[in-house]
Amino acid sequence: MTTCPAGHQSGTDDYCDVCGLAIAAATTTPAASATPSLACANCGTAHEPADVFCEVCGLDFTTGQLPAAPPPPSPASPSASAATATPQASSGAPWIVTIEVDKAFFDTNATETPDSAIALPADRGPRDISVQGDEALVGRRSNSGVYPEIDLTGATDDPGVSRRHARLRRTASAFEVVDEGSTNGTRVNGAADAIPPSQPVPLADGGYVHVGAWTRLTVRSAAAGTTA
Amino acid sequence: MTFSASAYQNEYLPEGATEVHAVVTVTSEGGVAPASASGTERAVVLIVDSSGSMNQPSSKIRAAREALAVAISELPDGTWFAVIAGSDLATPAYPPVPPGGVPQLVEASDRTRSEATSVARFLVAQGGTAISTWLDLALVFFASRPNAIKLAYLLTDGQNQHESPETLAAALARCSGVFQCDARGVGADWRVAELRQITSALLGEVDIIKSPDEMDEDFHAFLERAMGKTVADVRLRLWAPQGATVQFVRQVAPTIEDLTDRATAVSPLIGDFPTGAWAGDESRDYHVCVKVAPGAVGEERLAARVSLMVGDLAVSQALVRAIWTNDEAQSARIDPAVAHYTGQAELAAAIREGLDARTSGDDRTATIKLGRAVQLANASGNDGTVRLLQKVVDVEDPATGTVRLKRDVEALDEMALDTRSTRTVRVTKAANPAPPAPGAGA
Repeated sequence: MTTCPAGHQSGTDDYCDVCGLAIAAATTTPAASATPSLACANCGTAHEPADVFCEVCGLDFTTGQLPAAPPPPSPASPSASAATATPQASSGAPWIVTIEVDKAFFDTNATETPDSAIALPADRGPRDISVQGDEALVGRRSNSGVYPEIDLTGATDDPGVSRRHARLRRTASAFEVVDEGSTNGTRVNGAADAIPPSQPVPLADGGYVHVGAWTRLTVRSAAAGTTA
Repeated sequence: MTFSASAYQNEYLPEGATEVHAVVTVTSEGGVAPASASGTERAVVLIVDSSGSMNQPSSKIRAAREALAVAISELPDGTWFAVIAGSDLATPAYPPVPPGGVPQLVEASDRTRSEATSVARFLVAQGGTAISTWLDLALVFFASRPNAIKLAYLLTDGQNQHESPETLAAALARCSGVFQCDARGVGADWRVAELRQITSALLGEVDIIKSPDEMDEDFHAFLERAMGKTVADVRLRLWAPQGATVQFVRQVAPTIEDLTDRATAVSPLIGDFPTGAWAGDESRDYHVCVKVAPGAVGEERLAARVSLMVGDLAVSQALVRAIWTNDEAQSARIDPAVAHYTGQAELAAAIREGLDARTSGDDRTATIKLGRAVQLANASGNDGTVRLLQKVVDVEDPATGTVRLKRDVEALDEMALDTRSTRTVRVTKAANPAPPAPGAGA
């Protein structure tokens, strides 16, 4: 008989035969998360044994080196430094994504895909979602671990939306959209063709994208004051 | 004979998640039965429909007689067997039952084979169809060899017209767990759902025999499979932690069969699922889904312990784990085997729903469902199912599932698609790079 971390008497010694808790793992890492036992050699901040860098001063625990000052932006890649700089610049105020069922878009689709025979939901009005932070995943939640910020599961009941469909991002100037390799694609501002996956496409404040069979997402900053 | 079991899963779950999926592959190797199953004997009961419809056309009963005779002549010495002629009542065609005696299986020998062959050649087709009586007679026959591996083969050409569905269900409840039964429908006048009900309850397979001249080949294939079985009554034992619920246990290869409701409780946390008899070179996959209480980030729990039971002996086991993490890259990955078989289950369901919609005249739904089926079958390389679908729909673009319903579909083709919709293909080697180690955990 072994006693598991939760106190059950277990007939098996790998995992508790009552609650399933790992027995061996519990004895080797006694309550590590509650009382961090290590301190940063540079600034003294407590950290977990598994951490690689100090979260405060950036000390590399493997090499013992402090991070070097950031190199000056290379003139060859101005866009890269701009992209990393913008989220900090724009973070703060929320932005708005309006989700609605777009019948006109659905009707243009209807001629080319058999999915169109699925009935358009009649009772879904437009809905505004306020997004905190600079990025939001668009998709449908899944028990296997996808929890998108903009979850279209009930909002439009659109069967053409992938679990991980697209990412909306705030940029310095406005917004951008990146298709996450969705099955049915993402279309920007009413374009007939879907955008290529994994490539950011700029989106103006007030611009919109279509996903799935009938879902239209309009993106704008809250500061514009056009909230319905 | 050794068994090995391996679990394929992504054990990392996002914070708050409770559903754990895994595909457990069970493989048997080596034809020799373990010592616990010494003196393996096999019992086979051949049940042939001899109702009046087998005479329309008479080529059916003639083909059945011939196929039966050939099958009997192939029975190896020492196999216990019987032949039942089924109509609205079941007749023990061979061996004959002495007056006042009990039906008993007979051991195959030159004498019994030649007697049974002559009986088979004079099988008369008359009367109705009441399948429960056939199964009940098989049950009596099998009772004479309780320790044998017990397999029945049922061939019919029509519907179970002369009894209520409840009567059949009651007979299936009596036979379930005693013997296994494959079922074959000849022609297009039988009902797929009816035979599937029988094979689901009795751990067998249903299939269509499109034309009577294919019977002998199918009889032969059945006997070959039957003679390959070396271990009877293997069970999948599933332990899940306190407070967890088993969402489903599904055989997913070679065919889809939901076992969820078949569990026999061993203890409050342990259930046994029947898998029937195994040959020495089989491999089957099971998709297990368990809902557990959410754990803290960094916590590791066992979500299921899957053991393979032969008698009271656990011959192999696989562990299904759950580790909660806040690293989305770790938890978002879906295991290729789990993804593949989720798709194959959806494929089977899409075909079933599509055919149902087609039958009820709902062409829109039928087009969507069968289109989706084409897309799934094509994407997973299930070529057999693609070919069957092509007899029912015209495929314009398999990648998007754009199809048109065919206007004239042969009833036989539709039934073939229906019966074989549960056949799956294995995950490709590339998608599943870690084959189970030989004998691992056995």
